[in-house]
Amino acid sequence: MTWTPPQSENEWLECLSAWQDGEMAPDERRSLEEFLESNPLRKAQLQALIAVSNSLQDWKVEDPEPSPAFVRRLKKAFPGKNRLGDSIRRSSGLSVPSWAFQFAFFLLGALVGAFAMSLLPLDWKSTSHILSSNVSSQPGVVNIFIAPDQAEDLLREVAAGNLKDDLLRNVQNKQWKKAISLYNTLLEKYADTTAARQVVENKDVSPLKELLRSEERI
Amino acid sequence: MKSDFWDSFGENYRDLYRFAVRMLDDPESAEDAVQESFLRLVQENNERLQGESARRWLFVVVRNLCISQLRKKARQEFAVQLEDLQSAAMTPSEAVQANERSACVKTAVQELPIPLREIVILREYENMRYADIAAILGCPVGTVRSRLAAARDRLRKRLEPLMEANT
Repeated sequence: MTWTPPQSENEWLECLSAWQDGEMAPDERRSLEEFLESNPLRKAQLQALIAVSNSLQDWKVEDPEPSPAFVRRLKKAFPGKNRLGDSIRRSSGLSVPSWAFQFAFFLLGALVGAFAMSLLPLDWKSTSHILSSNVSSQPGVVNIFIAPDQAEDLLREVAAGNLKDDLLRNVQNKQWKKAISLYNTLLEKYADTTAARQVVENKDVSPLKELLRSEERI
Repeated sequence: MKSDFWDSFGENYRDLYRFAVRMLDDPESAEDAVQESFLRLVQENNERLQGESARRWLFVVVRNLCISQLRKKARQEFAVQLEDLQSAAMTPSEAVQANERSACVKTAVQELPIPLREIVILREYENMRYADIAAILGCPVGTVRSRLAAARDRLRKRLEPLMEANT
């Protein structure tokens, strides 16, 4: 796709904003970056948008835990031995499901997973493509059965991959507040994913780690 | 490894709460909205609502509850809101106060019209992709893109004194 510079001021704003969020096609992105090298006015406009995003990170909101009263209410609304009940029991520090239940669930998951994998001799990239196509229900995409456990893992990998891309771009652009927020999100929520491991080992992230160390945040 | 949506119960609860509290600026109402959404999910008893689809469904419900709450509040407090907006205007001298930075940003975001505010919160604070935001709001990706750009432009103008004081 050929990139042509936007015509109106609104189009420029949308274009720069989309670049900031990593929502441009790679070739369009490259073309814009080349254009910006020779256009300090638009570059300054982009830096102003980045500064806005950085400023927004000053508004922090504390994360509360679900109150015990609500957990009790939810549990009451959903009685019986099931995943929600089990999850709430774990969340509220009550007993975990019995070993027999866990084993049966594991066995079922493994069988369904093995069956799904035999139908899907695909690598990570192609699998995540199919999965995201399923989620968005785009016309013309063939829906292929995939085990719920695998789907969840794949979605996590895709989400973590997106966070990683965002993080690396923010590090490259020295958007430190945003980068720190993404880094923390990635390590807190997706520590078990390939993307999180790659970020930890990535030398490009070293300046961010240095910054965090200097602030005694890690 | 999280294999089921409900294994992420606490995590989803916190993400939804952050979204609601930023929309409403009222922790109590935010908590009510989040709890209501989980109860509705349970009542829905829909096997297809698992993983990401359940999370997205919850965001849609919380968003609708927030908007309905905001509309109700707007009807009740129209006159008071006008006064608040005037008194909440920032000046450079206020902006340089480090402990007021958070309050300034909060005011600026909450002054945005709801259609712009919700997109800013989902993108800037919840790090959602445009496609996910569009799915939650039930609008085209192009709308997300243009509204976000417009919101950032407004915020840039609104937060200029704060950013200048910071440089």
